[in-house]
Amino acid sequence: MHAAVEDSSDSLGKDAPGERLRVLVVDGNRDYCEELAGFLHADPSAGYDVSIAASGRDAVSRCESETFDCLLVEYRLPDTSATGVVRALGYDAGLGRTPVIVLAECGNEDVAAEVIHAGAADYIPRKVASGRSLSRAIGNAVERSRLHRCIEEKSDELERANAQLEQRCAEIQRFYQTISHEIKTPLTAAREFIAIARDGILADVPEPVRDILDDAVSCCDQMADHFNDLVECTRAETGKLKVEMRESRVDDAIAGAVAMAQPLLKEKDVKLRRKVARRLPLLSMDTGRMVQVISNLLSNAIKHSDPGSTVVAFARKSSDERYAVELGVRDSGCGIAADDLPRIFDRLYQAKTGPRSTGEPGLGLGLAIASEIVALHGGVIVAESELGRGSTFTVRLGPDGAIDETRGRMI
Amino acid sequence: MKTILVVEDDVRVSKAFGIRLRSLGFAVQTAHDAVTAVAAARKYRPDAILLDIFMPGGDGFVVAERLHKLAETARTPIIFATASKEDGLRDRAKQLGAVRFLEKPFSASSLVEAIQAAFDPAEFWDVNMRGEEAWT
Repeated sequence: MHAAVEDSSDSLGKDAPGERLRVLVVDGNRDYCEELAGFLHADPSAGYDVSIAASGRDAVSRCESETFDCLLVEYRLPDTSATGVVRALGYDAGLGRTPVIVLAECGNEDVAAEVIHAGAADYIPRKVASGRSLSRAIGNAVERSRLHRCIEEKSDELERANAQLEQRCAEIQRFYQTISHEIKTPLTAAREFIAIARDGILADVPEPVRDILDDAVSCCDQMADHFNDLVECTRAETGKLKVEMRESRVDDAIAGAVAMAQPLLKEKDVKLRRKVARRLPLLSMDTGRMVQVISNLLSNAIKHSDPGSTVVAFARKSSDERYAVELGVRDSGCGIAADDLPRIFDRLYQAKTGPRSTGEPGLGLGLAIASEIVALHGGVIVAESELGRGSTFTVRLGPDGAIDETRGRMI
Repeated sequence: MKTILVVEDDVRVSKAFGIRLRSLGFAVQTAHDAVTAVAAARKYRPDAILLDIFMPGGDGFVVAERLHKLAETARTPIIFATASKEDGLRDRAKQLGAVRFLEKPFSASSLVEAIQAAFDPAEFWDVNMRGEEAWT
């Protein structure tokens, strides 16, 4: 935008043709000031309204009451240096707004460095100052200053927009929580009434009726689980899901999940094998949440396995040296297609292959929640699978190292 | 026969819990808001209280605090029940010395387990002695 070659038709630093830049020339020598003003007025490429100040104090005071597009300041002023003026204009506090170009009758690289460091936009030794070079310097300085302000404004806008978004997220999360609570109340009554009827409390119940009432109860429980998952998931997505990290035994997570899986194992006629390495180090972990993760993996594995087959829950030192421990679940079930694999941790992902037993499919939020919990632990969760052969889900934890059980120190 | 006080603002939930508890062999009193709950606890001296948390005009925590301050109800075991998944409820319930914290909807067997815990002197903790073991 700026010609490298001097060109009298340059119109630099002007937002629109005909814009006049307001320049304050600051120099103890009035004659020099008027000479400079003359130079500027003579420049055909730009229009200037030139004012004059004779001292640093005078300059700063005028800047307080008037607006200038640029200051041309002689380094040696009667009462201070140009550096003093730059500082007084607020550049030391990052509040400087009007660009300052420092002219020096006698100066050197040190002076140049000093004024630029203080916040001046440019430094020009007087002997090379000409009408055109001044014009160009003023144009550059003004443009840069305007760009800077533009960036600041955009930045502020972004911050405000972000804050609004965060607030909206929190509102949405609270909304889901409220809705969930409102719906679960009549659901509780319905579930209990059906269970009461099923259990023959009010009247005898023939077996076929008892069976379908039992199914109805499990539908109610499933609905409740869905709402709970919904709230958890929105909490995870809005960053409100919390973990409480404590020094924990990794196999507690496996044990807890295995305990919860017993009814499903029995129902699906699937066997479970535990492969937990001995002498695993302690880890900083939220056991309750990790049980939630492994439970979810186990329940997926069981649901996708054939009756009579075995799923394996494992915990061992990590093969990846960035982590201390890995734990997870392996099954030999229907597996996941390679196309689907990248998306399985997305919300609402439902496997397209494999059996879907009645009353089982979740909302597809479990893995999304699981991956958030693992992320909050600073860990990773990895899925490997082959269609028709089975899948392995591995959680790697302990990015900060393990806590040595015997010595109670981080290793 | 032991008496359970059911504090629940939703009348259908209250009715359902009442039927279930009577079938388990308890006498049942009901209250539908915080103020009535405190009055009923003082009047009927239940052996345990099944206490909803969110009720209009005063929540279950307020009820529990009030009951703790009254000599005649200070040692009545409390089982909190709620459909809410708000953070911190379980911790607050623990702080108030509750015996159990049930998430609605819950099964009859969970209710039975909670009531058994309420009547087990080893399980019940004085409000000033907060135990960890009652909580899984």
